[in-house]
Amino acid sequence: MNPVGKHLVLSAEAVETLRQFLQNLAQDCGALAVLTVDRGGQLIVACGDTAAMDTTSLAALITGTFGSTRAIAGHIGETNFKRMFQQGLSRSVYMTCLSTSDVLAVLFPNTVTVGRVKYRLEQSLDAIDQHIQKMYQSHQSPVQRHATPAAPKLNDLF
Amino acid sequence: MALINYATREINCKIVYYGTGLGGKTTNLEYIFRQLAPGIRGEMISLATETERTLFFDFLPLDLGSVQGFKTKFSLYTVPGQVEYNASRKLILNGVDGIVFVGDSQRDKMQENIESLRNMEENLAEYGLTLDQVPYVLQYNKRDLPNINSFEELEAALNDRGVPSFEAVAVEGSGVFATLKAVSKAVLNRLS
Repeated sequence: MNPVGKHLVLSAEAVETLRQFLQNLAQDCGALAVLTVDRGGQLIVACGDTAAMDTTSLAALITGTFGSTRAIAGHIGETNFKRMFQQGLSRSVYMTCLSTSDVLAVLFPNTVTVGRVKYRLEQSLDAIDQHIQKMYQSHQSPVQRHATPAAPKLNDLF
Repeated sequence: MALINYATREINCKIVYYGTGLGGKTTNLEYIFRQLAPGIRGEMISLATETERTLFFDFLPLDLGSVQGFKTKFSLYTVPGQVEYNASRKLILNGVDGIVFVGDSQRDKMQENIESLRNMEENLAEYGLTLDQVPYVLQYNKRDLPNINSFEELEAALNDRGVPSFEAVAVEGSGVFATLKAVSKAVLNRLS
């Protein structure tokens, strides 16, 4: 589980390493895109063909759908629910829960089999999971003094 | 739990509107959506029933632009207020950075407000959080209706922590942005 009430602070180096992991995974399994989403629905890193995607909304919905399905699993007595597959006519999504309670989602076309996605994901999952765990453990310092200069900006916007 | 990305120089925060069923949480987001320019807000997503009651959540992303060199984004969520949807409320609170509790000012809704506030504290406790740890503000909605509690009565019943509170008529927009501004400042203050 990731630490409650603490911020996830991502260094440029950590993001680049994660992006490389995801990029390799996307290439290996022929995915359109791979996203990592935190347990609150915030996008951590996305890679692949995401230009035409609303990744912010997608991240919120991925966390919502995964969380609600996990709750269903709990209601039927299943405590080890970690994978979810949403099959579409032309595009599908395969989601897996990380040890930090974040979700990794692979979006892929119907020219790719779900078996290939599962196989490639299992090969790289441990490394990705360990890297994200390190990100939570390594960067818990608060961000720079930020709020006071934000006040006039908020006044302008709202 | 804010997400601070030094690679993209972005800060992402999650704000949840909580409160009783039909209290005006979705109305707050709908007003914000209508008033803000598309460059500041994204598309609003509502997972609602056929009768427009919130089933799972409403979601509205806001992009506040650059603040101190960081692109600052807020994700606004509502929870379903109906008592039976507690599992959904609990899920939405996961990773929350700030809360707006929308109270219904009508006299016959006071007990529901109190129970909803208690329910929110119970759900936060599931994540090891208390209201002392999460920035939150109160909004007393529906101030235009007859048979409402006075501001002082609402404060006495719902605001024992003395957090910022705002009177609102969300359907007309009154008090909506004052509430959003207050919770936004509180969330950014907590990041400092």
